[in-house]
Amino acid sequence: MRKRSIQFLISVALSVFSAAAIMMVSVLLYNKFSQTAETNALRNTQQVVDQVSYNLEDYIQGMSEIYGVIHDTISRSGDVNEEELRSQLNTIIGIRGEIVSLAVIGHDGEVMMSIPGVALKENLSLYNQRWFQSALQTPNHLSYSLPHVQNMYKMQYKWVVSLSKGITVARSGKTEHGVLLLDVNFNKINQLSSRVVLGKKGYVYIVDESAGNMVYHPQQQLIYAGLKSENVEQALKYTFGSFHDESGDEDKMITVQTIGNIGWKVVGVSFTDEIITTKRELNDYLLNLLLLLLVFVIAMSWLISRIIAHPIRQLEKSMKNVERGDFHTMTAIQGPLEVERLSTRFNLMVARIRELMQQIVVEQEAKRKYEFEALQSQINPHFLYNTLNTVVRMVGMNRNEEVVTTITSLSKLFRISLSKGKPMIPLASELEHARNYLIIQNIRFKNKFDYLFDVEEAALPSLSLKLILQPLLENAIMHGIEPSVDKGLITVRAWIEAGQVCLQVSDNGLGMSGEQLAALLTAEAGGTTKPSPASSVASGAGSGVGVRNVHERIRLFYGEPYGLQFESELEEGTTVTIRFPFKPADVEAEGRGGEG
Amino acid sequence: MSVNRRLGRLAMLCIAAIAAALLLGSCTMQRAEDSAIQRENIDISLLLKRLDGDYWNSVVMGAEAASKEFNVTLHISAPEKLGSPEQQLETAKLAMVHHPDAVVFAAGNDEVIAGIVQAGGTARLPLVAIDTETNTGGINSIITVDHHQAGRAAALKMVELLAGKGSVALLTDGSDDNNQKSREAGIREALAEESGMTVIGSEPCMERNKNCRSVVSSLLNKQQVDGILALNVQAAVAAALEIKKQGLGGGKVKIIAFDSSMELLELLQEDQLQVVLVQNPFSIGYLGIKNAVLALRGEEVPSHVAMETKLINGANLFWPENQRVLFPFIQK
Repeated sequence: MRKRSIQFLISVALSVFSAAAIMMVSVLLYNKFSQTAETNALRNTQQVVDQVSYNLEDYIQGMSEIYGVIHDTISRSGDVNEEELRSQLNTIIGIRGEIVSLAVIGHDGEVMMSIPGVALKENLSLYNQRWFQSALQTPNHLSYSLPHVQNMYKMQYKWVVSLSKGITVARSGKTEHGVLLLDVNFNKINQLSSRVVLGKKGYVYIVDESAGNMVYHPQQQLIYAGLKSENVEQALKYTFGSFHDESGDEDKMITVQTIGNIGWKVVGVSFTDEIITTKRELNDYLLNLLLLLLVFVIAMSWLISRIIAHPIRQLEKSMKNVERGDFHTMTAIQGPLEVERLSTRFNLMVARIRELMQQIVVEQEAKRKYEFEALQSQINPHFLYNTLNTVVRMVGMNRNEEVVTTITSLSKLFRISLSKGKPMIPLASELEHARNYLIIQNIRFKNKFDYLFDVEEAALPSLSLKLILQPLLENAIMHGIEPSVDKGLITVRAWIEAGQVCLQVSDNGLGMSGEQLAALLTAEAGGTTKPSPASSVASGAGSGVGVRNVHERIRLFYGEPYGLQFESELEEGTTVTIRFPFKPADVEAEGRGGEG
Repeated sequence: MSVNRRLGRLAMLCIAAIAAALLLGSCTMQRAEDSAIQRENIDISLLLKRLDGDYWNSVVMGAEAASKEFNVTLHISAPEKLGSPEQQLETAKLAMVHHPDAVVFAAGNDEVIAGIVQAGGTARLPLVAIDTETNTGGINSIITVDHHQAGRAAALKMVELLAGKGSVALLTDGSDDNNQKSREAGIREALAEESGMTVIGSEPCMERNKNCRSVVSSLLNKQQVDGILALNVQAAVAAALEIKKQGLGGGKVKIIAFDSSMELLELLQEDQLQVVLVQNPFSIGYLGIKNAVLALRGEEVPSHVAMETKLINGANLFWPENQRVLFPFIQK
């Protein structure tokens, strides 16, 4: 593709525009999608964390209710060691499988009652246990311990969360203060939290908000072993909400929710790179799509521009052919509508040029022919013979003055006729020529007619075709005056009218019929040698031919609307008017210089 | 009409391009999935010395934690009980038949280790040894307690308990297990440095012939014994129970044991034995799988990872950080 060709321009414009549009849409879509992905991830994490918190809270609520029921049951009973109380408590505990054990401990650390009846350790010291301490410190407040191994019982080391609170019990008729302990299997909390997944790698952990101790973590053992770490401090600052944690090697999104009354926090950890992976996948996809569309658009624009440009190039090729002179070339009519029309017009134009050239050839031929004929008429031997004959006669009659006049006029006549072979001469010369002609003819015809020149000065500088008046005068004399018995009058007028030169030759002779008039100009151009019926009647000067010759020449030179105009009435005379455009003589030198 | 034909061609091109776009679209999705699968379908063969006991349970739990994290499929195999070297090697070779991506193994002696290294080397597998002391080359990463150092630590603790003076008996399992030999060497080295300490015997005490307690009993009857260093759990339990029976508990005869079990912890609380030297089998299992995955990914892994040991006594038994090591966190 050459630079700046239509095909190139269309291709580039279309490609650039499409690429820009696609790029813009892609960027907008990418932004929107990635934003949505991020928002969704965040919302999802929040929902999951909320759900876990809700479940845990619900579970703990349930446990504290059971604790309340047990507390009530023990408080109301007459004696802690009653068998009836034991069975009641066994029933309550039986409802919830996750209750590991239940114990009432005196404030001195002595175990008053324990369910189920598992053997206690021998050298048991409960006094230092945290759950015991917190129950003693805040006797009316239900305390929850962190998950720990319950070591009250022999050969049983279960991970439990201990619920403890101060209690007043009746034993052996005495009222004593003590602590009610309920151990709940930690497995349930473990299960509630461990099943949660946030993306592929994300997880949930639970932390105690007062001391920052880990309650549950899926990788708790690794954390205790120092193989993993969790940024707990930051999570502890939040009661709820989300934030970004960029402290580790991986960028994380942390969501916090606090569980009421137990003082635990559920913390959701999801990994930002999982969101970024989604983004990257989206990015890759859009990039691929973009490339594909670009290839497609480039191919399309190339094709479209080719469809448009190809016929234009074909047209150009045809034009080049014409330029080289091959006017027979024809461009194929195809391509878009405009190009199709252009091709049609081009073809029509070429055809018209061909036609015009043909016409020019014909016209040039005709011009030469008429010029030849005009030349012939200039040196009409018949006229010369008649004139010389008259001169001879006049010499015989000793009319020397007239002889001189005749010979002078004849010489002038020929000088002007020749006029260096130019086809155009000043109107003044043409009129001079006419005058000389009339002088000679007047002498020949023994004053059979008078003549009159009525010429506007302004018309004189104009150029005129050579020898256009002579055939008309000849025609007037031969057909109008000679056959008439009366003395005739020939008037030659010249004037300017609307930028046109008007030459008029009128006689008061016999005039012509309409038929004769029509025949005069419409006689077949090709048959000029054949005299028209009208002229054949007259003397053999071929004057009809001469008139038509004038008409054709004027038409050839000046075009269609110009030429001869006849007005004739029988017995009244004939008037012939010639009209042609005014052109000053000095223009002629260059304007017509090249004409042959 | 050639314009129409051109338009027809254009339409065909459009359809082709759209089809290509759809194809490409599905391709990229396919690719994304492939890459997701690519490194996540890892098969790792975990060869252990045995499958029973708290120690090996913890190792397996640690390995499982890592397998979950790194998306690894674990294939665990071990000879029944503590197999002979021949049995161990047999089990290892059997496991390799299934073409794992990597092998994590615990092996008792150099013969077995060499066998596994040879088999794994032929298959060009990443090899990670856990709980295995060896100088054998060709292993990507060795994760273990320095048993020699552990033996020294236990011996020094005994010296401390006996205030630098007394006679100490050793209970071994009589096998040629590298770890056991290292521990024994460490103990002997440390005790030799103390002028007041004498080693009065190294008795094999095997669970297979159930004679552990009679070994301890005859040991106690023969001479004055101030301390017992039990190199394995079975020997420790037998010693503690015998001492309890003979009424020598409560520190009259000091016992220091290697590794723990529920029974042993119970006896520790009863003060039938004084100190338990524990490893962190969970971490060993976890790191074994983790390093195997890293080696598979072509990342650099430390050739030697020395694990810490802890001396547990009745006082620090229930410290929160010790609870996690001693009592299985996830109860089955």
